[in-house]
Amino acid sequence: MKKGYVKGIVFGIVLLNWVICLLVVPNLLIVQGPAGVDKIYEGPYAGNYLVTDGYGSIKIINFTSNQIVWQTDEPKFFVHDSRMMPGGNSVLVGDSAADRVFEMSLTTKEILWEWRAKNSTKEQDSYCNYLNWTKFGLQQGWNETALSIVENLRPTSGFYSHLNMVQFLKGSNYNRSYDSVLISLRNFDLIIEVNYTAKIGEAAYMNITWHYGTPGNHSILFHPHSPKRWLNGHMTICDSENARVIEIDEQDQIVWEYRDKALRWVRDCELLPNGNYLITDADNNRIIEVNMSAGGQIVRIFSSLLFNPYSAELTDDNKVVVSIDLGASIVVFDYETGAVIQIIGFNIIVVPAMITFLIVAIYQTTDLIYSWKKMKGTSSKQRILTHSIYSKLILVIISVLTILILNYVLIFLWHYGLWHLFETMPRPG
Amino acid sequence: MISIEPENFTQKEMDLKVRMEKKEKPDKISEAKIYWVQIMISVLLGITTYYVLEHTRPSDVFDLPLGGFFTGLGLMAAIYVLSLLTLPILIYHFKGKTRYYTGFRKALKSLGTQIALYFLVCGFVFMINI
Repeated sequence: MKKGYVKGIVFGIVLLNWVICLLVVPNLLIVQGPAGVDKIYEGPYAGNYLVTDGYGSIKIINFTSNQIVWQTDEPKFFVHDSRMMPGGNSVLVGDSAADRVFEMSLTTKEILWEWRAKNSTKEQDSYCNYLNWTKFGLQQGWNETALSIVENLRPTSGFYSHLNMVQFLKGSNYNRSYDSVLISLRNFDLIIEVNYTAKIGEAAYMNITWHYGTPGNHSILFHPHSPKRWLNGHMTICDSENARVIEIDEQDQIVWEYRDKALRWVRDCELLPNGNYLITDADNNRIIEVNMSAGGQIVRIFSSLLFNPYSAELTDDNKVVVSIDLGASIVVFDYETGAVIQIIGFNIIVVPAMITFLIVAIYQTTDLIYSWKKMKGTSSKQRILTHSIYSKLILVIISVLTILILNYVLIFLWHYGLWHLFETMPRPG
Repeated sequence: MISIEPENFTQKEMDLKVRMEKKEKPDKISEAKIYWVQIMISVLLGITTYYVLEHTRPSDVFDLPLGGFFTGLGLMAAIYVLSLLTLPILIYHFKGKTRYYTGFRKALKSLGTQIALYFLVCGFVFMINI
């Protein structure tokens, strides 16, 4: 067969591999882009996992049977975070596409509470709304830059507020007379707490009970992720673009800061029962356990099979559950040994790229053997010094090495190039 | 017997003969030499690309549509491909050993290998800098 035909067939197989992995396989998976995963500890679904399937819906998945036991398709694009409410009968959802937070009943799928991050009027919304960022900003003494950010409904970068995290705060845990919801607004460089028990119809900007950060002031926060208020009243915040994690106390003073020049896009931080912190260092493809009382010493690293992880949680049965939104999969590690014990989903980025380089390596090896045999009568040294032989050998070596560190080659492309492209893509709505 | 001596040609025919000889003269530079120069460019620019992107963050400096893509990795990759296709040809052209067109054709032959090597080097330097 002519070499040209063989090359055409190889190219066709590579193309088919990408088409199958990107267009067919995702439809067969139970998760398409998990941005968060949390074990459920109470209520009718206790023992299962709540998965924020970024590009699809909120799902409750049984990891033993790999079955979806509950899900909703509202909203369809793009949910960023979800948490079970106390009692386990409803779920609190952070919806980036619609810039809103809502609480949904698990039994009726009825929306029980809602808060919207966009300016609105009392007539438009039935819940505690008519938010006015300009009024709120002026009250706080924000400058024009800050006001222009919250007033720009069509920013070039991602969604309007890019609401990326929610947490329900029970008032009795913090000596408060009201419950509240903690919300992270990434594009505003702002974290707020909203009064959950406020009466419907009250002005929402008056119901922002606490905030940290100022839009556009990157010395405080720059694109924050996953703020969490712990039971001691302190809060950890992943200050992603500033490459650090901070903990602030109830007076908003920084208690500690974990800053490492090697951190790339930290997106989650969990306080572990032993007092250490589990930090998701997303663009370094790793989860690190850090001992802050030992000056930020890294005591554990989980990195096998990870590609741009979003969040990590240590469960009561000593498993570290990691969600990978870009790679459409969830990886479960054994906390003690660091071994991968379960994979849910299929990494739709890494796997087809790996198959591509594998095909290239196999094709080039075959071609190399063929060329080698064709040079009968010459010594091995002469053969290896022939350009047509060593150039093929070098390509085989490059392909094999690329497969070995593929996660890092791909994350390099993502971190410095493709992420920016993704961020500036037009969004629906 | 008719002798074909230069004095039997007109000036116009002589010029044509010189041009034809020049055209038919084989390139002294083999594909292999261009290949190795390209390998060096891929490795050096792979390392440079990582450090430029990591330390200057051009995507934060320029605010263009799809800014990060065009001013970050996209820009560096464009500089790389341009260097890959022109530098080896220029080096050998000025040494008088290759012509632009034939050199360019030789430079294109290992483009896939070179680009794979470039990103492999970028990924490797990224990995060791964690």
